[in-house]
Amino acid sequence: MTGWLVESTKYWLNILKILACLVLVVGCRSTSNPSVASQSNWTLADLPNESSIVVDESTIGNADAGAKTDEEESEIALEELAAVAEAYRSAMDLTVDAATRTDILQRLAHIDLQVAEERQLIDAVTLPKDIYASAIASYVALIATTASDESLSDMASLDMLYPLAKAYELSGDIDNALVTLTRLVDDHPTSEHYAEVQFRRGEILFASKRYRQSADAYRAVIAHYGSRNVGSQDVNSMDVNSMGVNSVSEDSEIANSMSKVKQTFLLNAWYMAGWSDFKIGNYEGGLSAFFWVLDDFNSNGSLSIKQGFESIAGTVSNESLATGRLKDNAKGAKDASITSQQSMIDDTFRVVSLSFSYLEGASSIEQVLASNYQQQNLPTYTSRLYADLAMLYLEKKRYQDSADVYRRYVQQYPLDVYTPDFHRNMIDVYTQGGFPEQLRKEKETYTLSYGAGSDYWQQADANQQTLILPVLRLYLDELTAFYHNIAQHPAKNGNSDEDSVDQSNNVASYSKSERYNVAGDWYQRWIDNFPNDPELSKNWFLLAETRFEAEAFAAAAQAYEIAAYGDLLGTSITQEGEAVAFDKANEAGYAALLAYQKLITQGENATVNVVTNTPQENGVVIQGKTLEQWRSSYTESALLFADTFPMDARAAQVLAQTTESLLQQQDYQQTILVANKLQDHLLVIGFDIDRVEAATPRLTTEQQYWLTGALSKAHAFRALKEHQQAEFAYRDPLLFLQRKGGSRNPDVNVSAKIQQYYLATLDNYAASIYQQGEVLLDLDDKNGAAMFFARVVEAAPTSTIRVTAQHDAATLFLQLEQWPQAIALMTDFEMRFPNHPETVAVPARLLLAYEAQQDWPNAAVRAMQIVESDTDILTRQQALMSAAQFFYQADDTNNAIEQYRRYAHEYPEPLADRMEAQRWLTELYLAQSNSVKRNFWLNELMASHDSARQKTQRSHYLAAFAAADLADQSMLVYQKIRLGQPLKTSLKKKQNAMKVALTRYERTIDYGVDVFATQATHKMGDIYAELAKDLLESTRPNGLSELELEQYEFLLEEQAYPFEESAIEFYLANIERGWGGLRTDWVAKSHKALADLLPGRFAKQELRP
Amino acid sequence: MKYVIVIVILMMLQSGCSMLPTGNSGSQAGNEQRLAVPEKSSVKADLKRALSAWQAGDIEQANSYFEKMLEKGPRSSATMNHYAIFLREQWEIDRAKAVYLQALNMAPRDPLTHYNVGILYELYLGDLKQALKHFKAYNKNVMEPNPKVKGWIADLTRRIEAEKNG
Repeated sequence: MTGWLVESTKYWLNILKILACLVLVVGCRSTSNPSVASQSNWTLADLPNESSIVVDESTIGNADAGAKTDEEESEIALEELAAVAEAYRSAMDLTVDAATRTDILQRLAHIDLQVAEERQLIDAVTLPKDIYASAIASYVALIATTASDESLSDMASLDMLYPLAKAYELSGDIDNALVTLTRLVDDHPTSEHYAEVQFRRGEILFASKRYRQSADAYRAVIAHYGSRNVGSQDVNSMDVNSMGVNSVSEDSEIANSMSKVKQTFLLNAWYMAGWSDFKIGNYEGGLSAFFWVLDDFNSNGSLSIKQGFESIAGTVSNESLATGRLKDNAKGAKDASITSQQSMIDDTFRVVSLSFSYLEGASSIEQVLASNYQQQNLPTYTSRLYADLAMLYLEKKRYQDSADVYRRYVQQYPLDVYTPDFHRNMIDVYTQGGFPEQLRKEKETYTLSYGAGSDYWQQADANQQTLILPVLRLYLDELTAFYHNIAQHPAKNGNSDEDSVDQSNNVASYSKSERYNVAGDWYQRWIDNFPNDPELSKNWFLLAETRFEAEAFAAAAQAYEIAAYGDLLGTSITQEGEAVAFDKANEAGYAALLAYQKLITQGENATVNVVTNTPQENGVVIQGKTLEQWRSSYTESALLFADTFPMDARAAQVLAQTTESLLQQQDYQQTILVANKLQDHLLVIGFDIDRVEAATPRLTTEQQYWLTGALSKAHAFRALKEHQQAEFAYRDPLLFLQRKGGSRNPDVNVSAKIQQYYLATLDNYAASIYQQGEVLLDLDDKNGAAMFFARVVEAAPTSTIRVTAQHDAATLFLQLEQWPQAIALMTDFEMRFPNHPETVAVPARLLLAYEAQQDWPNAAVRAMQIVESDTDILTRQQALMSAAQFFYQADDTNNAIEQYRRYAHEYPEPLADRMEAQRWLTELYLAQSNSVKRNFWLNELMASHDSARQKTQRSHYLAAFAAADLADQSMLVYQKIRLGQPLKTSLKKKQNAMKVALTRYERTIDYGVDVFATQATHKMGDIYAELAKDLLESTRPNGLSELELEQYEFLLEEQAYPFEESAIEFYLANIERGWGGLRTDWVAKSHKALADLLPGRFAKQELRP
Repeated sequence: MKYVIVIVILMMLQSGCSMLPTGNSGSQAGNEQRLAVPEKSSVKADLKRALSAWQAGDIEQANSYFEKMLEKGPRSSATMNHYAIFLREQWEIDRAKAVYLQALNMAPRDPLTHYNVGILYELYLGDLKQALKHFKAYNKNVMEPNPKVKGWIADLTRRIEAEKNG
């Protein structure tokens, strides 16, 4: 802009230099050659006039740099002129011809005038009137002379009147000058100086405020050029209707054909005519003149678009408005660098503005333009018309009028290049005038009309957009802050006026969510307009804040995340580096999580049936996503937060909460991942669980986070059935809690929380070990399962599941016949948990284990334990039998006898067991050589059988066994009796014993058990054979003669023979049992006995080959 | 003993088998041919081991050797008599009987077998008639009837008669 001004100023200065040089050349020429002809080239226009074109004297001076000074030149000129005048006077004296004398007088008058002018340059003392008195007198005299000579009058009059008028004017005698000039135009209407003289008249009349007359004079100039076909239009008929587009090209032709001087007169004439009309209140007439001037400047390029834009684009800032824009322009006019042409242009615009202001303001502009220009070909300075008018109003503090002018332009030309500036100026006017309601409204309109997405923005080029952006930035900053404030403090910003047009006041009456939505929308516009702004992230954050307050949590979360992480989530941010540098990025990241939590809470509430308080099926959509999707988003955001802001004090808390949330959602894999991340994070920030001192009984925040991560991970592993991993994961927190005092029986100082954590962790730890065993058990790996169950007892002895684990381990070891392990676990179980329901079964199981291990003493003890404690009578009975057997196997004969005896007495049924007990008693008493008790139980055996309703093969056997045993005892008694003298007595005694034995053997045979029957039969044969033998071998009576002895022995043989026959019968009976297929040892023995008794028949031996 | 058997067989061959029942000449001829076949050395070894174990009182081992020996095919009547006597001593009366009959099947006129099976029938099976029959066959197949066996035949005849009579 500054460069353009300089260029413009140089241009006009050059034009003025040319004009000044022309004047000087004329002057110099007249000076060097003061002839009437040359003098006639001198014009009134050269007269100094403040209201006319201002000549840049310094520029002129510069053009003659190096020449003599004016005073020096004037003194030289005076000397030369004096010499010339002296010469003319000498010639005058010598001349008598009237015409010649008149000519000389005229030349002398011109010299006088020239001398006067030179003197005026160097003489500051003498009054102008005195200086020019001689010249005036010369011209007056000459005119009087020529008036009498008709041959000279016309030409002389024209030549004399013109310099005379000049002399009057230079001498300060304006009235005479005007009279002279009036006479000149009246007397010489066709003079080539006519227009110039009329213009001079107009100047004098205008200066003397005789505006109507000056207007006529100026219009005479215009008419003169028009009548002489100078210019593009007939000045008489020139009016505003002729200032259309078509006139521009015609004006251009005129400009080319006219001399520059004449063109200058015409232009100035229009200009001054306009002023004259203005002065007399003929604004329409004045406007027609001024529009001619403006179009003229416009046609030759003097009024460029840049000039107009420069004028318009000046911001109506508070400061500039205070001093006034036109004031600036006026100041500029005084600046040496501003040309008179520019000043003229500015003044033209100024007076045009005044004219419009006196008419109907902007409406008049539109009327004029509509009347004289086609809509598509409006003058390029149209915008300045509006701008200057608006500025004029503003100077006069007519703020509303000023703003209306801008608004009219904005409405009329919505897509014009200057429209945003006009709109901005309108806003500035409202600012100046103190119209806050309109001010904010227009700022909103501005942002909507020219911001991103608007029609204007779409068609604007880069330069225009660049100019708009700072304003947009300013307004959007204000609007976002304003509406955010209203949303936060509606009471302070409320307006009871329901008819208020101010949106902000209406907004104050909105609901909270509506208020914040309005504010948020403004932040969104800010973002849309400044996607690469360094403060983008800040505005995303504020947008998020408003969305959050409006309970638009989805939008809030997204905005928070963009503020925190830039475009990592896919939103278009091209300069993410700036966004990440946002100083509240961590706050935004955390706030995003809060927003997600709100959504999750809504989702959870929505998925719970309010009637039954039970979860409904998935699929309820909350602000665009399902509950699961929001949870997933929360997790992603939380991880992002922790990754992005590892040093944020809340990172650990976020990870901890996320871990818990994932666990609650049963997303176990994610739970493990996040838990690991949490623990890594804690290490990064310097928290090492291994270095935690156990002294403090309370959990610190970091410890709590660590514990949450560790336990969540362990829970997740367990839920995934990765029980080994779960065990490892539970171990560390368990050890930590132990160090913090956690125990089954904690110290009083340990907090309830720690204790609660400890017990739960202990149980979970134990359960994870136990479940490893369950897995193996499902695979039928009982040994492996038992090992894990047993490990629960070792690793977590105070856990709840320890009882079950120990029991199950013992049971499996029993099944696997791993007796030592089973015994150890069950013994411990019995001791530790005497009241446990399973403890009742422990003795039986231990009995099984001890028996399997052939640990007879302990087996017997356990059996007796059952006998004494078991509630089931049948169990007690069986245990008693077992106990007796175990005592026996333990070589504890007394206890064995005791329990067998107890059994035999207490349990008559079943018969078999009772008889077995009785049999064992016979055996045990036999070992103790207690024949009395043994025989008792032998008899009991027979009695049991005899009295039994349902006899068995075994009972038969045992009864036969007992009978045979008793018979054998009787046989021994029989065998011990020796036959002596007196034979009759001893024989009697032996026969009685024989009878007892035979009876018992017969009873044995009656039980029908082959082995005992053949035994009994054989032994009965033996009894008889022995008696026969004993008789034959019995002691002989003393004193018998040989004959008597022979007779005695014969008698003995007679006595013995029947017994021997009986023996043979019993033996044969046994042999016959053998023939029938019954072949026992006793049958063989009978064979042998018969072979002895009847060798001829029974001693036959096979022949061996 | 073996020598005696060979002589008997030779005599039987020379007599033109006039003593054999009609219709059995073929099978009888076969048995005689098998008898002529000497025991294989392995069988002899098994027999020797069985007899040795028996004598040593190792009944189970002796039984094992006997069974192993028999698995190798039909043996001589002498071998079978060893085994039958062993079984009788173990009170395996029925099995001893079967072995004797098997031996008789191989050598129907073997007096040794008739002698031994006659004792088995009389003393251990109570079948007096069969005992009588085999004692008679013994005496019939030996060069010179055994007077002791004659006495046994007389005793059995009397006892059988007594049983008949009541």
